[in-house]
Amino acid sequence: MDTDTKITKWESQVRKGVFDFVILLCIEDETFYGYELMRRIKDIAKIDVAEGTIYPLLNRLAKEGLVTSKWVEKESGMPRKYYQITTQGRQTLAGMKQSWRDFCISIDQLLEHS
Amino acid sequence: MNTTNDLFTEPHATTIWNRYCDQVLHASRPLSEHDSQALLLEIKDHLYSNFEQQKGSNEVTRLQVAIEQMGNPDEFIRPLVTDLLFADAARTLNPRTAFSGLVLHLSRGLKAVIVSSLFGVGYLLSVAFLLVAVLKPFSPDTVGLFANAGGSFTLGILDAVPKGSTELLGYWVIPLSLALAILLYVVLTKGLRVLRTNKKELKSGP
Repeated sequence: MDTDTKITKWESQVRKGVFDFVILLCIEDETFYGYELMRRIKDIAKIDVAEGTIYPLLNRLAKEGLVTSKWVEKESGMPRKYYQITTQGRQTLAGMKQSWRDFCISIDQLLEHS
Repeated sequence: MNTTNDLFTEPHATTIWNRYCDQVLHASRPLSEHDSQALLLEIKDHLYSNFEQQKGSNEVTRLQVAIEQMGNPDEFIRPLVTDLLFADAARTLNPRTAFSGLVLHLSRGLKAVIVSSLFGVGYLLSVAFLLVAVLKPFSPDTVGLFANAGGSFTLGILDAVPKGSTELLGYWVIPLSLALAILLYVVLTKGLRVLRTNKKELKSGP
């Protein structure tokens, strides 16, 4: 495997590893429906996964009480399910943010010494 | 709500859409009717939103792109179905739901165990061929390919050659066994790489 391919794979794994964190960040201030949320994640976080995989994850986050959802009837077309962060989700996200910052500082320190 | 017939002007697009919806329903069949339909609605909304965003006038192509981006329902719905079944079983204490969830959960594990076992057997076979090649010079009479009296063949290392058996290849068994050992090893190892790639794709979610 050449270096570029290896880096691309590694980067992809890193991004996928923070998928929960990215979802919670995206819905911190806005509600989204599945497709809209997936677009945002792809555009901003560059996480390239099969779009359907977001639903098991959203379901898990909902079961953990971090997100909640509600169906909204549209004037035309299909009803749409919107997701929003819960109070518990906000608390968890705050913890995740701190962990992420600490982690980045640690890695930066390693980079400075390398 | 729009019916499927209202969504597309091209009949083939409707066919593809219906087929995908059937796949979703099939993958989510262990769920309750309510959960299954709710999941289908959400996936339909996602798929159709993506379809609307695709450029071009060909509905079939736009829908195919949306479906490709969505992924295979069997792959992304299974973990969701397992999660929902376990949650439902914990809530209702329904043994049937718990059993369905367990079977679904184990089926992935069982597949992995079966595939791993097959690879294990293959590697053992490769080592066996190698041993035949290595041991032939030390025990030329009991190592090799034997034609048995009953018409069957035995390739390997024997304690004693059965009466009526004849060794067929002589020292040619060495290059032959070596070639088979190497070939098997290469094929299995290449196969392992493919399996790893597939596993990553399956795990392309979190």
